[in-house]
Amino acid sequence: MGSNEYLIETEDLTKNFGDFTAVDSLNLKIKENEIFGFLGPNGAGKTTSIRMMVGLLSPTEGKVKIEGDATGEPNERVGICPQNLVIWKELTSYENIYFMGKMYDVPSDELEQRVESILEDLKLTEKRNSPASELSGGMKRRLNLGMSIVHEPDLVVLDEPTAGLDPQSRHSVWDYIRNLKEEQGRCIILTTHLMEEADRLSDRVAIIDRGKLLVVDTPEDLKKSVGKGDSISLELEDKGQNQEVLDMLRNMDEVIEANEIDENLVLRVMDAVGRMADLTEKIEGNGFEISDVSISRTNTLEDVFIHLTGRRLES
Amino acid sequence: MKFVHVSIKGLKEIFRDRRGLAFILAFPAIFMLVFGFAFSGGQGDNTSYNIGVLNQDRGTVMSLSGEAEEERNFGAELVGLLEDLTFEDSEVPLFEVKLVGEEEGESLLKDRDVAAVVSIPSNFSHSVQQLIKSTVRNEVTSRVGEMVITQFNDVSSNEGGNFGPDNFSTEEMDSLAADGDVRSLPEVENLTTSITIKGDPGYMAYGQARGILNGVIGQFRDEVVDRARERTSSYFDEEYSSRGKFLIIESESVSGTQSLSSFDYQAPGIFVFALLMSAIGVAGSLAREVESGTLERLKLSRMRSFDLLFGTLIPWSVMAVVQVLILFAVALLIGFNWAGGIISLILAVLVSVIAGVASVSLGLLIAAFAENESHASNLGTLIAVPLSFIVGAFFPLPKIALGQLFGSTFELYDVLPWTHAADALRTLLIFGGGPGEVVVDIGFLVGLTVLLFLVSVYFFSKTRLSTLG
Repeated sequence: MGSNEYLIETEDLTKNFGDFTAVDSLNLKIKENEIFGFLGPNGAGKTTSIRMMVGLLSPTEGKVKIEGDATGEPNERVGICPQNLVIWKELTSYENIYFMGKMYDVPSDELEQRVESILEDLKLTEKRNSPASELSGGMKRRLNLGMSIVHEPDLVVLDEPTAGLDPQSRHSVWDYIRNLKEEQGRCIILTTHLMEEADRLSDRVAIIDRGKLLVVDTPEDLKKSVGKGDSISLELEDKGQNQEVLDMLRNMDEVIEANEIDENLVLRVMDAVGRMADLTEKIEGNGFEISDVSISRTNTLEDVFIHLTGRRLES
Repeated sequence: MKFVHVSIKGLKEIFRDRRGLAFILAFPAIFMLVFGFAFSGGQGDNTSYNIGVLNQDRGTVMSLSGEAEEERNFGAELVGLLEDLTFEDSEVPLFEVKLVGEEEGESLLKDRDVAAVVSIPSNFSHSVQQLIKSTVRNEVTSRVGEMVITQFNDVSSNEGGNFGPDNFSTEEMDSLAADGDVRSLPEVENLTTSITIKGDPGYMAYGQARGILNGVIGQFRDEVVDRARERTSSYFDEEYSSRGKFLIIESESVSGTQSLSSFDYQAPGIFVFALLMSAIGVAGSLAREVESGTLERLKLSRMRSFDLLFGTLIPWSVMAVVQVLILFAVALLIGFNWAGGIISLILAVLVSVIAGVASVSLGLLIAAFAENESHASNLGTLIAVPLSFIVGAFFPLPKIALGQLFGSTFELYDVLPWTHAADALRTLLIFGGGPGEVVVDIGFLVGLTVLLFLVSVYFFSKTRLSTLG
């Protein structure tokens, strides 16, 4: 490992596809031995950013540096676990990982040990000799991950590593990601649209939307930045009255923030439980009918995203 | 050496994909069966070939070793032989021979009234005479040499050893020669001649007739040498009065002509067409790597284009070998006849295998431009099918000469390896040619296949393995 404080940096990284700007002047500095969450809705520009960072896509502008050195080509110090399942279906679990090791020139004797170890860590030993086509979805995704780290890269990029997994498999992958950082000392970039995943695993989180970096901080500080108070979600019987009620709510002193998200009204208020009865009485007193109400008492990264964009993250 | 691991992976994928493997193996068999039955008609009913013969031979006067001078016209004897030949196991004459002049021959060829015109040059008999003399001279020299060695051994054992060739006097050598009844060795002129078989390459009957004529003329030449050798040997053992003519030409049925059909003539083209079709499968396989994202995974390992493509070429070439063997096996099973011997057949298999490797290289090139498997399949069909016609698999296209190379005209289509494969297969299987007649075509085939592979590596590297915007 070099002396540079940051393992990977991006400087004004931009990608245009015709008139469409997928990534707009992205500036990131990612340290060694940290899990860096890259959070944003689908289509925010996460995968495009990642592809430029690992050398699979040329940026329109800007550059990527690994340990201070500009790079534009795939780098053997980087391992990427793509969002899609990229495996050879006719090969067994063992053969898939072994083959990738050979492609990275890992010596045979060392490689055999590594493959066995990865299979065990990812709970795939029982399916060691099964063709990948016969594995379950969760197993395939774990195999997909194992193939990305067989050459022991310094930087592991995980693009939506738990997409489509059941909760049990998801937790298994999360444990492995933590292990990669804590036991093996690797730097991990984790792209996800799942706020819980980013919140639980990341040391720092970058929130990206429509190609632009909105904010970078620890999950705790991000949640604090939203401010105090609880979140109330209201659903009106007549959605056509949403704007009228929203205007009314924004004029109330006790409402800190109010937004219309997915045809619901989401407000931030202090002591939501205590003020709930008063709020609903005022709304219904003005002739509006409420069909559903829910209260959230702790801030999440979703709240951060709503605070920053006025939209839900997992829509 | 990453290509070794890519090859192993490729072989595992091919053999484990049962459905794909079944298609790869069944394709050549079904293909050959369909085409075999489609072309199984034609000349199979032992219909004589109409040929014209332009005999310009002036004849010669032969006198060897004191024999009485005798007039011979080997051209006329060859014509007689052609007239007397019959199909194998049949009384049907192989050829209906018409003696023609130059203009009449051209006209008959143009109207396809004859399959071919055989031109016998004016010095044909003289050339045959020189061939006989040359054979006699070689035979006598060798006989005398043997006798000298026998005499040498006898003297050596009588004298108790320590004798070498230098111990023979000139008189002793003359005496040995006289014992062998060799009074004077015939002088041989350095003379060559050639019989031309003219015809329209697009006319199926020409191809068939040419193959048989090549064999007959070759046999005629061999017969001249054998008979001359045989008669010379008898000089050493028999009385002078018993000596006969140096060459007696007899007719017999021609082996391999019993069921020459359209299929036999078309088979080389069918082999080339089937092998060209395999390019589609290869292109699809590599396009699948692109489509599934596995190529990007490999790209991240900084694998070279050569490793991927050479590693892909090897397993598909193995499959090409298997396909070629199936093609030939099925062809033989459904009654394919070829003009040459077993060597011709083995060489034809070798040529087909190289053509198969060329097709695999074409598949790699197609994959460089295909976005997905279905695109590769469509693009492959769009390229492979017309290509089979361009290389002359089924009928020759108009000649477009580019220049002279190795003493022969280099046509536009000669830049494609399969043109040479088709030519070589026809020479071997239809015209009964030997290794010497296909060596140039095989050379071109190998060279162009290597070139095509390198072109594939270049384009695949540019389009698929570089970091794209």
